[in-house]
Amino acid sequence: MSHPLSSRDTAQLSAYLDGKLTPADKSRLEARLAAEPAFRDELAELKNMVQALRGLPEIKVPRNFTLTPAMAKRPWSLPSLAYPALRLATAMATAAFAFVLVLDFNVLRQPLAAVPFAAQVSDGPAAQEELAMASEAASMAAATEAPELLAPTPVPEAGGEVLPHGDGRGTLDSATPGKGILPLETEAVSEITGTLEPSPGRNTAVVETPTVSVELAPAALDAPPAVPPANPYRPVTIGLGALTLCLVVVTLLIRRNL
Amino acid sequence: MDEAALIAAARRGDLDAFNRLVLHYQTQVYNLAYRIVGEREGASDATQEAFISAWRKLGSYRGGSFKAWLLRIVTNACYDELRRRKRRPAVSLEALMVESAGPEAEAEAEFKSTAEGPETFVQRRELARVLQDCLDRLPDEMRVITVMSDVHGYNYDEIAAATGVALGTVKSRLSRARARMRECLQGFRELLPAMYRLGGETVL
Repeated sequence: MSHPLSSRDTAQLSAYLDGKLTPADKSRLEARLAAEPAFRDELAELKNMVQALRGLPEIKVPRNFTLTPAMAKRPWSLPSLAYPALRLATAMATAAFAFVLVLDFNVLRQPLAAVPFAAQVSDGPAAQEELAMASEAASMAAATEAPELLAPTPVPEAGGEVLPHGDGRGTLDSATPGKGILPLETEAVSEITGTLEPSPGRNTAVVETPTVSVELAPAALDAPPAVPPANPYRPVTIGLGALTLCLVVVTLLIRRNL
Repeated sequence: MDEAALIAAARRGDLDAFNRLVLHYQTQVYNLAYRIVGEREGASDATQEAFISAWRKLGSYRGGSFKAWLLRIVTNACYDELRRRKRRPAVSLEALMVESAGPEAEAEAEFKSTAEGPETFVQRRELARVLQDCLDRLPDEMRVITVMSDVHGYNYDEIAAATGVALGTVKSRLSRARARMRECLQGFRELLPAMYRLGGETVL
């Protein structure tokens, strides 16, 4: 027998058979059933098929499926044993990661907030990126180190030592590193990018760097170990972050298979 | 059988209590698995796996209908079994060849237990074979829903809960599955003239 009905019609008939039509749809469908013989035939065939399926004989079980004590015992598997430990490790790694992340951000923020030439420092990396693309690795390393090493160093000294030494020197000192280095660097950048001959510009920049800190050195001697030159938490943060991520993934995978 | 007491005892680790639940549900579970997986060996494996899994997951049973909870585990065990068979089609083929003797044997048991004439018995057996054949040709997710709804008589809500799909999806899948089943059965119509009439009514 052909199917003159659309798939929507057969869907409606299927739902009607299960009593799942809304009252409005039901009365609409019943009107069509009364009017269209094709609809009636379709419904009758559908009903017969469902009846035939419902009438499939029940099959006797080939055996009992009761569990023996051996079946009931949890298999001694690595995942099921490792799961609680992994969960704990994941929780601990996450906590440690969060803790170090907070430390990391605090270290990052303090100097930036305190340094008056923060804006200039932020110019630095951009210039260095250009530099890095143009020049060789050695000069690049020097350039990246110079401002990072310098930037945090003068901060506490400028703040701390300004008072005993008098205003003039203090402000001059704090201004010197920023103002003194950056123009030199931009010069160096333009030279290097233009000529690919880094030596003179770079050298002056690097040479200039110690002179600034030498000026400050006597005053700075009390404090230096307290303020590390680079952010010491960064590698730990990255390492812990990666570890936490790995642990979370492994724990979730094992949990799915448990 | 006090199901709630047995479940409570099983949750405390009483395997005998759990096995009484197994004995109560095994025919239902095995029949569902048989119609979904399509052959005896796979159905046995799925049934056993389902009960082992249920025992281990008893801690996750949060009250309510134990049958519905079990049904979900059984459905998952059937899907696992179907996936396993797809990965190792050789097993499936071998099992299918062994299977050819299966339906007759089971229908014979049925015949002895009911007082019907041999003619009707043969018709019913043929009908059962064709229906299972058409069920086997459905895509897995359609077959699972058709078996649950039309063979076992579960309602849409129970099927949605057991399969983890939305009610609307159950409805639309069932409608499409029925349309496919009808097409498939029409293909067999010429081969099986005897099954046109059943219980005095025109069938298919």
